[in-house]
Amino acid sequence: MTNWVSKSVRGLFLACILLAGGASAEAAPRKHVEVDLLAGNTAVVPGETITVAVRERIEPEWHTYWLNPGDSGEPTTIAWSLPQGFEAGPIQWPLPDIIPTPPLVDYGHRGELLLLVDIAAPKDVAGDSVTLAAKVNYLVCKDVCVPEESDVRLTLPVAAAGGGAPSDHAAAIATARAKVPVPLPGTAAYSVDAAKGDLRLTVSADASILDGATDARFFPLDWGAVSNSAPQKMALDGGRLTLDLKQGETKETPDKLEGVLALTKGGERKGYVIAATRGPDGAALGAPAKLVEGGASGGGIAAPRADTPAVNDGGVSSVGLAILFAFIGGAMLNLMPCVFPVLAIKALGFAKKSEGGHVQQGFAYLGGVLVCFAALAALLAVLREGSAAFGWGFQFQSPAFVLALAILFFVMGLSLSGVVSFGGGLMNAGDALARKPGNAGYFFTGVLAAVAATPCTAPFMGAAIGYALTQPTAVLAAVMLGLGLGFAAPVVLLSLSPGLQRVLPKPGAWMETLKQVLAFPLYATAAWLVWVLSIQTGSDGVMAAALAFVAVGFAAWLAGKTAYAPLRTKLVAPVLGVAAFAVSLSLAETAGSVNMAATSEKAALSGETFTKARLDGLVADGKPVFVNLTAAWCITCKVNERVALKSDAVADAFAKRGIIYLVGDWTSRNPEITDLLQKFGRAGVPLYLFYPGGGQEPRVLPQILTVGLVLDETKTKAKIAGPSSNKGA
Amino acid sequence: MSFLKPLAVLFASAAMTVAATAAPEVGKPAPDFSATDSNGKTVKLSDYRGKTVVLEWTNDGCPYVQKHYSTKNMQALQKDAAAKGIVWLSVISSASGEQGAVSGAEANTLSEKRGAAPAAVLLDPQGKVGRAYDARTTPHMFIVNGDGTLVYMGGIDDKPTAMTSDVKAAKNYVRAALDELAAGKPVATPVTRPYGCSIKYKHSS
Repeated sequence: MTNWVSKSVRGLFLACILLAGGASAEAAPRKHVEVDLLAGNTAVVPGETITVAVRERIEPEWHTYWLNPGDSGEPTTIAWSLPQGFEAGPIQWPLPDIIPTPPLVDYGHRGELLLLVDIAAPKDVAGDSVTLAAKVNYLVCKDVCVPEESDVRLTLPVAAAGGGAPSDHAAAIATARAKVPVPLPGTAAYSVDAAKGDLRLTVSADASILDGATDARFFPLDWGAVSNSAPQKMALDGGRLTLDLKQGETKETPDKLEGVLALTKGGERKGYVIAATRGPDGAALGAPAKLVEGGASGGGIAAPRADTPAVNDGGVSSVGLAILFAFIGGAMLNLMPCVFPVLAIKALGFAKKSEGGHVQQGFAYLGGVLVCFAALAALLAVLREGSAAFGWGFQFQSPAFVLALAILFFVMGLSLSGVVSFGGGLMNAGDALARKPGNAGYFFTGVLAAVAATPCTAPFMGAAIGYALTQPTAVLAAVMLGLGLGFAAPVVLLSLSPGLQRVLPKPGAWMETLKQVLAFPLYATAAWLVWVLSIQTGSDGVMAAALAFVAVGFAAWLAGKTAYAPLRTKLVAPVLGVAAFAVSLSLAETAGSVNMAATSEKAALSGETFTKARLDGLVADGKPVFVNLTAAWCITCKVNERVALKSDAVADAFAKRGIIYLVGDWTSRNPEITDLLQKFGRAGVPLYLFYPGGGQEPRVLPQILTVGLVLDETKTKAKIAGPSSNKGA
Repeated sequence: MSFLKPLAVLFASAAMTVAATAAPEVGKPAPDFSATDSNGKTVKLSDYRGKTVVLEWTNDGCPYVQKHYSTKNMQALQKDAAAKGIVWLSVISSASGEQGAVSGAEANTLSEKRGAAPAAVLLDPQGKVGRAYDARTTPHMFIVNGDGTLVYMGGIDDKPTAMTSDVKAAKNYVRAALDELAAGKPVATPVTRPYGCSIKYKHSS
């Protein structure tokens, strides 16, 4: 009881002193920051640690500075005066805001700031209360800067073990703790391009951390190595984030680049402490940064406002950019060889009907393409929800799909050859619809063109899809439709511009000849698809395809014969055709699943079969490795292999340089290859990687190869840049 | 027109890249400039070829500048420099109406009152000289040698505080660099952290 009384009296006394202190402070010039000291617990327990907070209540529009203040300013410092044996830990800084004062960029805090400090009490504490005191120095700035100093103190009773309870401030302290960056559960590295003054920070972490980030910002812990004012460009590829930075004034390249990475997701920022290890020089590290302009949150010279530091429209512009890239990629697809047979049909259609109505046809075609890409977007979204390993061109990994397409091309060929002419009915679902004059025909030509384009992953498209797969469904859909718009653009343009149309030849007798000639690219495409099927399914699949061709051919002939027969007779052909179609597809699918395991070895034409374990082993041994990720249905891959990779010059060079050639075949599903593709931000093949050996990072080669390019890119004696720091003369 | 925005972003970032690489570098020619001093005279950096030139960004309202003037630290450096034939140029890049912005006459009065001894005080309200040097803080110090090469940029010393008590114990980088130049030696620490208030540049340029 007496103890309680003495404590109360002491408390009253202290309160009076504090009030007096407060009163005298009133007389001093008004400060821009109110500073006080809070504790998360109502008492100090000997031998335990208590968290206290130096609270800065900063006048609106003013700010104090982070640990690294950026281009100007000075961080808050706390000089403690603690009782004997008490020890204060470092300030646990919350994630800072970007404070742009063009052309400078500072790092600081606005509003209410809690600087957390853990204070460890000794095992023996004299007396029954302790007073924690500190002198807090800080610079507070708006347009002008004022250094201020505040003395804070806090007296707490001493409680026995198990004593004390969370104080009124416990919740505020917990909130503040949540704002303190945590160590990144992942890895970080950086590379330097000294000639350009570029730094690239590469962060690998679980998708749950990186996925959906719309903005990223690196706050260096120290001054000098990283420019504060340069914009930071973010790119996100699944489990990997790259951030392009500029070097700071010292051009120093420390072994560990320490700092805090702030990720913005859904308007909320979270900080991760990283220490990026220095990787090899040069900008060729990993996939190129692209698509995502991570918002000019750094402000740079253009940063206009100071009151919205971290939240910006980076997400919007990055999506816009992705759609733009998708559009360009889609337009480029028209140049790809696998679209050619469909383009031939389309050109034929224009030649046939040059008297007008092209605008409608152009838009019908656009509609067909868009429906297809929208369907694909929906499919991607649905499949992404499942955990199936898949990627762009994944439809081609299904034997049934390949066979269906082969039959479709075969039947279209038959039609062009004049074996059958479809008047209507079920069989129209494919080629006849595409051939049909008028808007419906154009609509289905669009559908067909979009389906046939899948294996041609142009660099732009692969990147756009890779990006889209990491995005919310709405963005994914927008990117896919962007692809479709670009893809359809040339035809729409042709239909809109009479000038361009005039280039098309006049209708005439040559058209029938042309039509018949055009059948052969379609047969060739069908043949090629059967070859793809042969790799997927082996001889059983080929047999299924051959039987299907015979049956469908028979059905087509029968359809022609019975065109004017009664309905019941007339129905025999389509029913027979559909039955043959279905049976052969199921045969192909079965053959495919049986053959799945053996497939990858079979397709490794030359070079070793890629497995992740083999690659990791070789890289760990420091051996130079060339990885070719390919698929039978990827024409770009095949052309590259014929032109460059299978040439004697490349074979000789690989042998001389001791380069081990690994071939990963993605003709059928292979999750290890899908993983590697995703790691490099790709959703499809081809992907060519060169690991120079000696622990150096892999180089990504372009998607179009030449002998010279391969020889240049696989020089094993990679140039290591000279002195890592040039502090000037 | 939604695609225009990403394009604009692309161009903007390209432009900023150019700006970022245009920053002065130690060991390279210092950016030349032409500016008007407090007496209305035009001063060019190239006028001083053959002499060592010190550039000091200043703002008399800034506590970090006050730290070095109230302790006579800056004046002592200026006087030593003048005695050795070194040209000391104080530069004020505060925009008109901002803290530190002064007229020529006010600048001269200020120098007199503080006992400052710069060879000239350059008035740079448009921030042209400041931006050419990527000057950020007051103070921010640059040294150009007789060949016109930038040999030092950074802080005045290694104690980045506004506390006058820190001046004495600090290592003064500018004094050290000037001594090394006088002895014909390379500057041992040519790039350091500038510290202080932000320069109150003219907005929206």
